[in-house]
Amino acid sequence: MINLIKILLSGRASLKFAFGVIIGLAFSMAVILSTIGLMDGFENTLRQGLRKTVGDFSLHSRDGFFALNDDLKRNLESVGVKAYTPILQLEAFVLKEGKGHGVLVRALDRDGFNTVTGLELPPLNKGLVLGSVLRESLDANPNDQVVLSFAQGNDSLNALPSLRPFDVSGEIHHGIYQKDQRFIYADLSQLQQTLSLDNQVNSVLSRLSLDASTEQVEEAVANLRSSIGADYVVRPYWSEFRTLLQAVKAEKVMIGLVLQVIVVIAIINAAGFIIFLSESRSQELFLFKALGMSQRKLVYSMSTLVGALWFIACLLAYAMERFFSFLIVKYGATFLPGDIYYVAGLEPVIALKDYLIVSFGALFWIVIILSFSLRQLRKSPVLQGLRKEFA
Amino acid sequence: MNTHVEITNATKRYGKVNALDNATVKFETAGQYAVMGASGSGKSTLLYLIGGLDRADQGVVQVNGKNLSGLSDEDLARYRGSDVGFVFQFHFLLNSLNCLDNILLPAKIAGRPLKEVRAHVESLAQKLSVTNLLEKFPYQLSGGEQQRINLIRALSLKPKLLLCDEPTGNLDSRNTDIVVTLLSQLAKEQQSTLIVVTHDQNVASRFEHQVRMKDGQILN
Repeated sequence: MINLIKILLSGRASLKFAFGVIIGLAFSMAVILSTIGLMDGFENTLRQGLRKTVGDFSLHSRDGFFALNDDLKRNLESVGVKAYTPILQLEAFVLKEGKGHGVLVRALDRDGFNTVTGLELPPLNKGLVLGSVLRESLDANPNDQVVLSFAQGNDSLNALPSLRPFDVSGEIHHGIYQKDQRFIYADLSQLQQTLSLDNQVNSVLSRLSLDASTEQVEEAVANLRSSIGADYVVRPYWSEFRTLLQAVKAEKVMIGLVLQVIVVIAIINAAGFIIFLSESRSQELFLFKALGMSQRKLVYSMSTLVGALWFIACLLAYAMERFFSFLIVKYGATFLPGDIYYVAGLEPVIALKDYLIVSFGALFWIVIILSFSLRQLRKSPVLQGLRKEFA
Repeated sequence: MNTHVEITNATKRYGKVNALDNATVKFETAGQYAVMGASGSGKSTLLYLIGGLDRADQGVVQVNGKNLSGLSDEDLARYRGSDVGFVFQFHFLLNSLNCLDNILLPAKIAGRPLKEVRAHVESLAQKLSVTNLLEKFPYQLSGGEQQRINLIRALSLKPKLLLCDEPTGNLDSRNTDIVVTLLSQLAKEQQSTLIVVTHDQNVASRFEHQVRMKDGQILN
């Protein structure tokens, strides 16, 4: 068998062709894998980023401010919530040396927030932690002073001072551009005191478990909605980006279909190689048959050769995909407009299932082409083949 | 003597041409035969039917009592590999392999122990004075040398049936004489049945039996 493979691959033309086929097949598989990885990575990054801001779901009162009473706590625990934290979310303007931005101030208990979202906030120290993009745009460094201007008009906030100076304590990176651009974190008790809100909040962030699936979150949200009634709004962490996530899924299918063109081209290459082998080495193949090689052995040898090429192409595709992913991780942020794609950076995510589907998909087509080629070889009688090839 | 090959009413058509027409002939075990006839008389077709390289349309081709028409493709391939040694007119040596690898091809295909086969090949090479050529490639050899390598390949597995299709067709008289002598000698040593297809009267006369063919039929 080794002999046949050695003979089939002898000569520069065969080796070059084989090399070209391996590169072509590997490249096309790597492109498909990278695209899948990019789409899944985008969804993953977005979901992770969203979870870091709201946990698994958030709860708001339709009446504005409310106190987290025992009833609410019981309701949360009854749907499987393992951790929750009340927060105060207020629209405001931040001002620094003539620069101003509309922001969302989130006043919270740092430890409780960390338990629910997993986001490690720098110590607040009675100051503010700014989203990284916002901090950069304001050119605000730690210990610099900024002024928050809160909106008026809400009955509950009649007594609010409209302007309030704060020190900057640090910055936070969510991984979602929009959040990094708009979010400001403050200490809950400090802001409640400043705004004379006693123990009132306007949102509760909740977490089921560290690895709760989308389905589990959906179920918990539905149960909570039915148990607490219409006074509260419960939103899963992805609700803000639901349309975008659906669009990404649809796009993945469309791109997958378009990428089939690349697969077809690679398969045509592989088909060309198999036909080239059968034609250019038919003298050897017929001689082997004349000397006693059975069709079964011939099929086995050809299949081994083509299988080896496919396997090498798979390994190379994996290496190429890793390289492309490295480039995306390292340089992706420089060409990814965060204000359009929301995420500040990307890390392609490829499951084992994706590798298997792509590589065995390619093998499926190769096997079909090989079987056609071997059928042609089988159809030609040995004698006719010998006479034709050695004429 | 026992009958090694028995052909009964064998017919083989290629399109509208009857390459073999109701041919009946017997070859005895360890006998040496020359099959003669003009070009297109059906002698090569007869050889290929015996060698299992083709199948008769009608009639029976029996080798050692085994009907080749009844064998599956796999069994026929096994028969070609184990029972038959072929000496082709155009050598059919692969230029991508050296002579030794070419010679060892049938053994590798049949899965025979290479050490044993190699020892036999080396002794044959010595007899045929081509030991120094074994590491060379076929394109580096003359026609006569290539035919000797071809002969060693055919005999490498000690087949009981040695079939030669115009083995001297491309050789000068000196090399023709060498190859025919060696064929005859080696077949005798191995107790193999030797069937040589030739259109050369001088070559044919060197073998103990002559079978004459014309228009696909056996004349004697």
